[in-house]
Amino acid sequence: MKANEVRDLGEESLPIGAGEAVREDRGSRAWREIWSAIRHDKRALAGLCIIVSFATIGLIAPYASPYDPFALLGAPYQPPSWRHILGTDNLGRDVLSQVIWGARVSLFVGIVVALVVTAIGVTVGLIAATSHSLVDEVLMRFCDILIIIPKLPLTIFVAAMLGRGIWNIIAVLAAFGWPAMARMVRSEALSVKQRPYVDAARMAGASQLQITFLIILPNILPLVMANAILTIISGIMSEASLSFLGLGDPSQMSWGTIIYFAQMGGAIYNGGWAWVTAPGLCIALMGLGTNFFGSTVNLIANPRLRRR
Amino acid sequence: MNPALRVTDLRVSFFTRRGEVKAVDGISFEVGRGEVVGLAGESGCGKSTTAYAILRLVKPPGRIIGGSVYCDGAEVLDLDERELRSFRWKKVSMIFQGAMNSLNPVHRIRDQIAEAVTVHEHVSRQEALARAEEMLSLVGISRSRTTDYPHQFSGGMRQRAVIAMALALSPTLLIADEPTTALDVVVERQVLELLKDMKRRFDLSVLFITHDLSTLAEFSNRIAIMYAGKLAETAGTKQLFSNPLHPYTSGLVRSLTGLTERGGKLWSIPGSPPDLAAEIEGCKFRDRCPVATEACSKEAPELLEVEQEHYVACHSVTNG
Amino acid sequence: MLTYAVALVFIFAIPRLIPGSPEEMMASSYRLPGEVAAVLRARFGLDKSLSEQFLLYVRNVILTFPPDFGISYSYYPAPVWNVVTMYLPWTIFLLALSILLTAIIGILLGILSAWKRGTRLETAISGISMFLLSTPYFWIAMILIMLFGVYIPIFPPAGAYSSRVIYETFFCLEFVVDVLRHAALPVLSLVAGSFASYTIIMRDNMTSTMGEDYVTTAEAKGVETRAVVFRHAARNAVLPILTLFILHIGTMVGGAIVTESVFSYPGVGLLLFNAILNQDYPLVQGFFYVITIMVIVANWVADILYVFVDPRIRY
Repeated sequence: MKANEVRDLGEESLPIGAGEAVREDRGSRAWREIWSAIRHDKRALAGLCIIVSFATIGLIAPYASPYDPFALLGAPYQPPSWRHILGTDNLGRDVLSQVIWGARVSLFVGIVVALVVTAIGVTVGLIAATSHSLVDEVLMRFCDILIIIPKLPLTIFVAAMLGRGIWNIIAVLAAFGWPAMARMVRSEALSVKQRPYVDAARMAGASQLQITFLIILPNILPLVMANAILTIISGIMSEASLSFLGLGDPSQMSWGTIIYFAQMGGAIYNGGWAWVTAPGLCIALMGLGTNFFGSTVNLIANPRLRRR
Repeated sequence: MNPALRVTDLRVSFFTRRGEVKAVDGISFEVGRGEVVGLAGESGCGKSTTAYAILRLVKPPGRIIGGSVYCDGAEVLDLDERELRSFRWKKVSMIFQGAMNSLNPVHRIRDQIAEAVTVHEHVSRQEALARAEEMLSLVGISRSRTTDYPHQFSGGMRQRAVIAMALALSPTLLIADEPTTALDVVVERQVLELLKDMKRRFDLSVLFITHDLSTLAEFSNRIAIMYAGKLAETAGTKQLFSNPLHPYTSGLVRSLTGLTERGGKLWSIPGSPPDLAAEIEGCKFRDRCPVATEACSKEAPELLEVEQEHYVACHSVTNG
Repeated sequence: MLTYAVALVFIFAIPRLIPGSPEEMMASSYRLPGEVAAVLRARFGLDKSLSEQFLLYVRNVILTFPPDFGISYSYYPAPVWNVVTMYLPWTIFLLALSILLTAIIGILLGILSAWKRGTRLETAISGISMFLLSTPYFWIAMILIMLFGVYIPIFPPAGAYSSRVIYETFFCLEFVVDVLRHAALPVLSLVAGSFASYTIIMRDNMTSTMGEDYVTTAEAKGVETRAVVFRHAARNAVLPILTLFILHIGTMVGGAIVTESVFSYPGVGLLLFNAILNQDYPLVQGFFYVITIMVIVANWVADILYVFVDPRIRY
């Protein structure tokens, strides 16, 4: 639900007076500010470009990729040449095609994980922030436990349990990723709750539900967005780690699986430097892009961080 | 006699995305030895920036772009790094607005004052600590509390500690930037009395910056009124209150109400201060001025001596 | 404390959820007949009811020291604890060294980039940090191996120490040097992949701290710039880093596992991996237990450090 839609739905239903209080510090004004700040900030623009580029590559992968990534085309371990711009792997498959398809798979995983994590995290976070302290305590303890136990071993474990497959990986990553988002949402929501216009709205008769969805949600949305963007790259990296350890989906060529094959195929010792370098570089670039973009959005949404 | 401080045509501007903001647009004043000069004006008129400029603490995007600050035989704006560091605190020290935050939360009070000493003089740590404790007892903080951390002190105690720190090196000039604004009236009274006491004891010259004229009435010898980066009027305290010449000053004086007056509305100057980024022709006060004339839109008035030691920058006053 | 208890239950529950039964797995890998599987079952106590198993688990793990996780299925007949302790020291060594270096380098770079804000140095540091922030540990490891292990062979690309050399005593100088040489690349990968978050957070903290009044006061007092940055600003800015530290340990452990696999480093990472594949419940439990304890202990250490570093908590 976008902030604008929320505003249009809700305003008439609020008691008179609450509307004024609510309109005071609105999501919509923040959206316009954010967009103009992004347009002016070189870093954010660069980040956005990178993200969009990779996304586009991923979308048009079937057309952009010169060969079928799984096709055995010729001599193994060929160095980069005009026919194979990034060379071939140990089975003679074209690395560039793999990397292009890899964009599709990796980004898919990253984005889906980010969406699920955001959905669950925001829900749980809002519930925790607006509920009875006991519910809040229980939820946060649960999150703490999930946060404390080192993520990778746990995800390895569960992934091994569920078996290889792209949806299993997404499920596992999302399942262990939401607590961090929930915690952040909760603390932001709590700070919004303290602001005077929330009290004003409540005094004017707004119900808890209205307050949550019409005031708190729009105000935390920029921060949530920034974190969601950062979750994308975290999802991509976690998937890469799992794939690297052999728990990935071998039928899908993600950047992580490429590196896995590179390790298994002894790329380092056989001159396959492009094979190893390319996918990792892609992950790093994608990460750079999301960090540039996401941290700038964060800076805007979080005035405390703004330079004085 | 050599004045403690002579500021001549000081200009400080902030270069922001919106353009050049002339925070201080050519002001000149003097603080004599043992004199208390009050610098008063609304928020945003440039008084704090002036204070920062004297110590060369103006941070980007602000910059001192002209003028002279002459103190105790040295031109401050020409000092190099080392000389500047030696000048700071020893010749001129400052009490900042909201003194609570002037103290580093992770260092003990005693150590922070001792730091001021050791930075400037080659003394042993023991001696620096001893002097720190001496200063603190002068402001009424007992020895046993000197090893505390700032958060263990009350607001008033912190304010006193900051004063002790500012006077640790017996400076020539003390700049007090809104020292009583953040305090309740009882503590405000204590701090003012303390400042008076310290001034006597150390024969201080003080530049007292505030937006509250009533405080200046009892403490300062002379008052300078600032508006939108320029000086509107300077005069002896008694003169200013009994005969305010500039329309802004008379507005300010008029808006003060005595405890014994009864009834009637509170008076205030209509309008609000101008946007300092915008270029305004003529006098910056004209939009709010009850006696503005055509000349006021054309040319900015200069600060001219109208009576003995009484300067005003206003066309209506100087042209009759 | 509560966290500990819940974690224990969690650890018990998880391995039990793996589909398939370990004794069959074992039996089939050794090609034993079906009755033997039943015997194994009894031996491992898997024929008892779930609650009985749980009680036994609690008794053996908490009430005895060293915690008795039973006998490892895949390293039979070695007790789990022994297996774990054989591999644990190497991981701890790697982690300790990496965490220390990451914190020091990260914090220093953060201070530097805040101090020299707007200069090319800061842009360089920020750029490199951001880049390294999203590079997977294992990829950095592989690149490092390529660069320094294969093309310019300075550091050995695998193992913890040269296995073909025999040393006189355990801690003689040559051994130490050898160990350090072998640890260089793994530690470098871990540090390179981790310092960026410290740097970025430290820089943000410093930026806000440097705007505080007490820093301006220190400057006005005539304190020289270096002391202002370190003694006043950094000293305050570093406090929230401890919280980051706690959150980060979990990530580092993950990184260690992955890095160990690239370098064939004899730590618990590979151990865990094989244990999972072999459905070796006790070993998996032992591993998770140890790791969780390590993290909880690190938390305690951080809490204690907090008290020392921030006087506002002490008084």
